[in-house]
Amino acid sequence: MKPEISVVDLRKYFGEVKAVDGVSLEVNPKSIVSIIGPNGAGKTTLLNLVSGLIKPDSGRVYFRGRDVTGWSPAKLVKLGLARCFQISNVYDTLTVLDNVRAALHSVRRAAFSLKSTYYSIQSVNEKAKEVLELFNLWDKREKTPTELSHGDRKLLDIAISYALAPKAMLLDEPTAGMSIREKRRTVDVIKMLRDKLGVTVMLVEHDLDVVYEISDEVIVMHEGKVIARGKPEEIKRVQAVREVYLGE
Amino acid sequence: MIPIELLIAQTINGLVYASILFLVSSGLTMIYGIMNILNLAHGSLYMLGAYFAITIIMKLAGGSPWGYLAAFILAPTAVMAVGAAIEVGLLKPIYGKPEEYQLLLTFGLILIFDEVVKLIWGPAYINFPNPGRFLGSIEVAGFEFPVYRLLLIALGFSVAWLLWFLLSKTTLGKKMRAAAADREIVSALGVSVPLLFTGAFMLGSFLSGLGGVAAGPLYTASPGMGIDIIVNSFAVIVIGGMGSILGALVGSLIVGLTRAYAIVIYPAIELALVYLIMVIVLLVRPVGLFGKPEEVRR
Amino acid sequence: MKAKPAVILLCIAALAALPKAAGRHYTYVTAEALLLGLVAVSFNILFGYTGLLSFGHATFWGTGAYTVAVLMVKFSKPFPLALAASLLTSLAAALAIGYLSVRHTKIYFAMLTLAFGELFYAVAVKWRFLGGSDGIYGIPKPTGSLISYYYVVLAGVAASLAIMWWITQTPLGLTLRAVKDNPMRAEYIGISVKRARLASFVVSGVFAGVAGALYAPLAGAVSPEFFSWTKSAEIVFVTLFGGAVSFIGPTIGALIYDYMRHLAMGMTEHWMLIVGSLLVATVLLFPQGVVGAAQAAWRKVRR
Repeated sequence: MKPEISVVDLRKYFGEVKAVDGVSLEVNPKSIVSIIGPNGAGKTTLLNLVSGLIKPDSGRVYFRGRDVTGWSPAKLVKLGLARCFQISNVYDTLTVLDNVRAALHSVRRAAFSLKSTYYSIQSVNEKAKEVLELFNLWDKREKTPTELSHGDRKLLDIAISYALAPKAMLLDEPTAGMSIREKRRTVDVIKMLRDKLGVTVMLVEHDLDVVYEISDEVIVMHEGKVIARGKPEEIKRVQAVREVYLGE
Repeated sequence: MIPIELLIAQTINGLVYASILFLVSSGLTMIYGIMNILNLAHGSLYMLGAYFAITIIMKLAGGSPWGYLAAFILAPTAVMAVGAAIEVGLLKPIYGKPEEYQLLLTFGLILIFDEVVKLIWGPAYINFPNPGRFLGSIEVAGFEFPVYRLLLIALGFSVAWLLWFLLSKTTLGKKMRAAAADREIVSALGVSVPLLFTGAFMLGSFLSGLGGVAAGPLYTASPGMGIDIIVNSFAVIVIGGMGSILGALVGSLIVGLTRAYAIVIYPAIELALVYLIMVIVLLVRPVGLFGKPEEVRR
Repeated sequence: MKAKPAVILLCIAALAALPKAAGRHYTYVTAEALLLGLVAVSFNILFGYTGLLSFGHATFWGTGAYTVAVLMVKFSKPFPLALAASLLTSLAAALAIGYLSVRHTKIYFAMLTLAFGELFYAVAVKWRFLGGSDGIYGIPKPTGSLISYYYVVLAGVAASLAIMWWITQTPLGLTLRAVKDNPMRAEYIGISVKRARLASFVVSGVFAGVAGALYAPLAGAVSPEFFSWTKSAEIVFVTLFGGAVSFIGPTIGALIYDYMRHLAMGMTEHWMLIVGSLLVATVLLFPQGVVGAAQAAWRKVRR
């Protein structure tokens, strides 16, 4: 199987800090790969590098077989790579529905269109309804994200990315700050992305229960390097992981 | 070819203008660097410095040499008080609000100060004699150098050195720079950030007022002088890199000398040339010559 | 906020009937206020909708006005041709300045646009062809009389506002709001933020040019002050004062401002002092402007 995302010997230093220090990894299509590690391990920097927010000092990033090192986020989105953020990244002044509409216009290359009003494009409205219903947000479509619960905001963030019809999604701590019920819902959503919608997921997460439940593969980072990788049950047994991660 | 006398004269003029530009733009860039505030009315403080000087020199001292000396101390001090009032009364309430607010508010202040100056001193240009007549000139290698102008150049470089010393060698300066980097850490260390901000704003205001006192007798005073200097100061700090004192010095020299030479070579493009340099710098190196590129971390 | 067709028709009817009721002077003032309103709405496409604060919007107002002045006075061309040409010149200016400016935001953007405005001002002052500091005068009214030209202005403003309103309602309008709200998210849904900002800048610049072009024959003369920072300040002020939060807010601000100005100018020459104080007060006390404050009050009453 050809990997959907592959990263080869990626490096990014901030002055003295070796945030990402020679990381290589592959993510297979329609799988969930979780990256864990203590704070400052370089997990978010890795997501930033893969999603095009920052450029690496050296190393390559491949997506769907193409060398996409240094591509802008907007270009990567068009190739099918979407990304969600640690702090939910939505449009606070737009309604929930318009949050999704803006994404749908963009992916249909109609973000600059002047032909019709933005709220009267039939196909966009139908797709927006489908997406919001999938994420249980349709009833809240006229609210602004500021009126939503923390869990719903994060779901909206994922819904926007999902509306882009991506081949792969990067999620940065999708369950951070959530209640147990919200976590449950999010876990189900992420599983649904893989199982029903065929999306490849690469995520950073602190909650090990979540990670062990959903992941096909777990990658452990420490001080910018990958120190272990394997199936969840294998990672549970690796002593090195417990030392750096659990402080045992 | 330009005669050598003219070239030397324009170099002196350019350096004098650079000195004055530095007095204004160093404060502007320092306040931005520490407080993340761009005070559009910073040029109005320069204008106030010039007008305060007029009153001190002509009205209170009757044009005597002591009047000039007094003006160089009292006028910037008065401007500093105005600066303190602005920072405490008007800017503090809008810290943390969108950046547009401080731009709009300080823009409003420009309009207010321009009209206040017209109300008190009248709308006409005020020409007042420069203290050069008390100081004379010195002769070097057959060329005359007016002492007042040489003193102004020395003032500019001295202030540059003092600022560098203050910001990089003293504890206060280190606190200021730390405040620029991370407000929370600094207040956790027991430093009063609001007080530090007021102090930085007052220092910047003082310098701008000082620039006005120096410039008033040289270029005449008018209600439009504030906007003229602020636009040039923008060019300076954009070229030099916002927040950088060294950048303000180099930017001032570039703008000052460019204007001085352009005015004898091809006067029509004097001002345009400054904006042209600014645009080119922004295109080639958006953070300016000495600005630090910001990068997304973690 | 949805537009109410009845209210709009009523406004147009009232403005159309105005010359009969108000006499020459107030017809002139109203025409002037409408054009200031138009340039302010165009500015607000950039500021209110896209989140970019330009301090040099008078650049396009001046470009439009000077284009008409040069073509009508120096080359004796008819007004429609001059108006069409002003569309092109302001488009060209907006493309060039926008291309260079939109790679920056916030303070850098504000300063760059201010610098470009001053650059145009410097050119207008120094260039003899443009009349130097005297400007160009003797611009004829294409329809002969002030009253008839008022209707040209009214039609031009109404058409321009209608087009800009439409733009705010299209996917482009939503894209601009998305870019203002959260540029990083916008980039991550595949929008080229720079391109969106440039599109906004061009729309904004072109309609500011149209406003200036319509203003030149009304005033009969143009001068370098058209490019000056005071003119840019006026545009920023009426927008904020009226309310950048609504489409029509800036025109309300412009109408109040211009009427106040004509009243106050008879009483004091220090009019800008009032403007400056109002601007400071607006920022500190009611940053949503007159329309925003009225909307908030209305919502309170209804509850």
